Amino acid sequence: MPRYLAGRLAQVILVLLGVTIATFALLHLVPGNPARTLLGVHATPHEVAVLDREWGLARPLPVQYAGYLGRLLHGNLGTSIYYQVPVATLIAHALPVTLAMLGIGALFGIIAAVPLALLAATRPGRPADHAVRVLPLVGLGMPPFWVGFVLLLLFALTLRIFPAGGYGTTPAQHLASLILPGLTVAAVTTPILVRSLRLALVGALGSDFVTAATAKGLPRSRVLLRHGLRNALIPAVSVLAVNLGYLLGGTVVIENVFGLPGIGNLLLTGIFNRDFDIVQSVTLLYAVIVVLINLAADVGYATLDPRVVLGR
Amino acid sequence: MTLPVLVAEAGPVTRDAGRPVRARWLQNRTLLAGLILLAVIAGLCACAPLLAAHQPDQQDLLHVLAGPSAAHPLGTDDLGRDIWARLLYAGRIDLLIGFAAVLAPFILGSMLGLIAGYRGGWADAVIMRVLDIVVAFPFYVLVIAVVFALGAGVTSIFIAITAVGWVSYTRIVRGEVLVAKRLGYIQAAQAAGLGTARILVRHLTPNVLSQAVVYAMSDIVLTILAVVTLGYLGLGVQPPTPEWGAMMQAGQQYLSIHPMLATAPGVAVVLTGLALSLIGDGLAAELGAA
Amino acid sequence: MTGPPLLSVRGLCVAVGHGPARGPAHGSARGSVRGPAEVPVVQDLSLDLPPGGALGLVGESGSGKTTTLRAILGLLPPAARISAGEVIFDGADLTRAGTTRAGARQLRAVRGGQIGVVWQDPLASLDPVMRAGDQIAEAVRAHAPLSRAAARARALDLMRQVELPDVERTSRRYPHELSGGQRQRIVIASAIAAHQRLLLADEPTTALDVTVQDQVLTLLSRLRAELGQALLLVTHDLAVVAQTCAQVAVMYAGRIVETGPVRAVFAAPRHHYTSGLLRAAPSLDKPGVLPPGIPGTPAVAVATAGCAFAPRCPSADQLCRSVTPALAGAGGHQAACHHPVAAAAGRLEARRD
Repeated sequence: MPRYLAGRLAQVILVLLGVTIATFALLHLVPGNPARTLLGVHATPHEVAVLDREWGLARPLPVQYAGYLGRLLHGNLGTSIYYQVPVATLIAHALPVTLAMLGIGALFGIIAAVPLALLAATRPGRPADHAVRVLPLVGLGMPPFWVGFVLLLLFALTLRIFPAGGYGTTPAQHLASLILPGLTVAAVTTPILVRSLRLALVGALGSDFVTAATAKGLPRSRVLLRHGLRNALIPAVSVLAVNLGYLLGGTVVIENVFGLPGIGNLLLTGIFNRDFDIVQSVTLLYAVIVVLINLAADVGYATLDPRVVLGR
Repeated sequence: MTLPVLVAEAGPVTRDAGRPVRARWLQNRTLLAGLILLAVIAGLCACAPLLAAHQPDQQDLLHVLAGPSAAHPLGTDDLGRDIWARLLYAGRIDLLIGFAAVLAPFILGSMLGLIAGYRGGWADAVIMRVLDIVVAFPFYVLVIAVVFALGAGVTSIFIAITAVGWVSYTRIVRGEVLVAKRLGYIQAAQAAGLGTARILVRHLTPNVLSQAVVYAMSDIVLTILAVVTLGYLGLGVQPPTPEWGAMMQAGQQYLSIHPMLATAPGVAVVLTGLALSLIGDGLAAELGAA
Repeated sequence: MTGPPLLSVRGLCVAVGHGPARGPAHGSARGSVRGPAEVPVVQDLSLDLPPGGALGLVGESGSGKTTTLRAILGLLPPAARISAGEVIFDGADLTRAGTTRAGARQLRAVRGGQIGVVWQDPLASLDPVMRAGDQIAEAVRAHAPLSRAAARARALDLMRQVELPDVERTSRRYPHELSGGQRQRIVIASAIAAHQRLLLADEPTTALDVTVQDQVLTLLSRLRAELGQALLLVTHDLAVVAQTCAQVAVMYAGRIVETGPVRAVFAAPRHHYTSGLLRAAPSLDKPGVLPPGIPGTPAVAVATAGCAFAPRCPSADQLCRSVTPALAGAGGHQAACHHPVAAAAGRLEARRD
């Protein structure tokens, strides 16, 4: 295991390096001079030149990249032009919000998906099964922000149960304002989860060891859960891990709909204000999160399935 | 794109093995339902000039935010424009861009997959490393960042989706090529002295692309969703061209007093998404089982 | 045979259709009317097994023997159902049990509690993500109110009984970490965990190495003797039956075509299929001589009247092709044949002991 981790870590670092190059390159594609953008249309060439030199924009790209990488490694994520505070600070405030939303969403998703999948897998061919199979099709065709709309309309504006956006100031308010976004996140994850879990369950329940377990006279619940579900988790978790990138990306829009001060909204703010450091750092952050979660998923996968041997 | 990897289901398709292929397609209820729904939606949008009494950008500032009426079946928006007309014209844009925007990633990704799988060696290594990096970014984040870098607009959408979406096709095609390489016919062609290009085009491609095509079908859903989402964020199709996502964004502020503005395009998107999902699923069962 | 049989199957018919059968594998979907496109896989099967007795069910793939086993337990695959007949275990009809709540509980108590099963492929029949010892302990706790610790201790005892080495370490292993023979012993341990009175074995040694086969069979015989278990052994291997069973029933195309004491049937088979099978086994007495096969291909799920073996039988005539023969004969040795093999001709040496 340690050898495997070391190898994977090396690979992770390489990918992260590539990611930093990608983000750096991306934002240097942006047409227009950042200095002029900040100073506005009425800036004199002299002012632009001063800022240029200050930011080192005249230097060759690889040198700029090296400087960028150096700053990163020191934990310097740049400064927000708009807010005039270190980006790291902004991220530190925004990240917990996004993570909380994702956590709640994942919880809702699991709570919804597992019973549905069990229901469908244990009643193949019956109406419940067909309903559960059609549901994901509908769900996948729905843009996340539309789900957010509907929830907003229904629960916040019409029924007035939950706040219509924002984050509140007390932990209780935080929680309340995360419910609807969490449900929206769940709306995105549940279709995927239900599909793969149902399929995996059908496979597990049809397998010989489940028949053997039933033949041992075990209670149906134990056969279903300990033998069926437990084995079905393996392929389902791997599907979930593969889809992580997509799920994470959806949070950008969801945060926008609900006005949550998470990193997604931070990214959009950075974009609309042409705040390069924010955009660069948040994009990088997203990639780092995905890479780390994938690594954790690989390791977690090995604990789920004792047949998996990590490493070459 | 790094979108939901849907485990292809060979669902309970009621089929008779003896019937000819065309009849079999008709029996695939999922596929049929999806095709019908899509035909209805596309048909409505295509016939927009015939079905809409007003032009989509025709403002009527005396009747803003009006409810449904005889003149305006779905009411008007904040500038007095007919929602029904905007809905139909926006549908044309979204559907067109959505379908077209799947082609480029499909072509680019498949080509790269062919090269990576067939050539192997450093070409494969380079392509896969680049893939690893692209995959690290959540789809929407990268698309948004690219559109930001290039400036909003339809061209940027195309470039962004292509730059991010080729990944899945490359993976699929590369995998198929690797499998095919182990089967005999590639080696037979090589032994017969056929050139690489000829092998690739005449022999490998037809056999290897079917899975990519199946995937492309489900990719259309997500491409259209992406276009709509970008429109919602203001990064996509620019006003005054009507677009479903942009309509929803505009309607968001009036959700409590005039929900139709945001709901109508929303329903349109959901129905379109449903139709395409059904088609994708039906095709996956059809081609996957074939 | 003294006293009532432990297991009595009467007129069992199993039909397989194209989709999930309406209703459970036991119970409600009964009746002689066959559903659309249903195929009879087992027809009119009857057998009796006395307490402590051993019956071998012999046949080729597709003869319906595994299906019979599964039908006894009510574990048919979704597309199959019992269309007629009954399975009476210890006086209770198992086929009626699935319909009521109390019946289901009773069925569960019988499964694993009274009837143990040893499956063909131990790797497939063990849960891959559960440790070996835990799987035995699970079987123990299902039928006895023991604590986890007590069940685990009992599992270790059982493992010793089935001659597994180093029980502590082995019990913590996962199935894929064990050898085929070890896995099968784990399965056997579960099958004797609750002092089950009947052991159903479906090709228990087919998936094992030849050297291990003999060990496992010997183990089964020994355990049976010690615990007084009855055994219903399903196999295609005549030698296995000869080694472990007192009675044999030969199946062909879903029906029993011959049944009787092992010695009698093997020494003087009366059905042409049985004699063909016995002739087809290679003999050490005549090395280098290719044994004669049975011409034609095995029939599966024959729905028409007439003897299913007729197309391949040298003695078949018009009667055979039109009227399905019933089991007939004296002294417990019966054959379903209109023209059984004459007692004088077809006398064979007893195969290996």
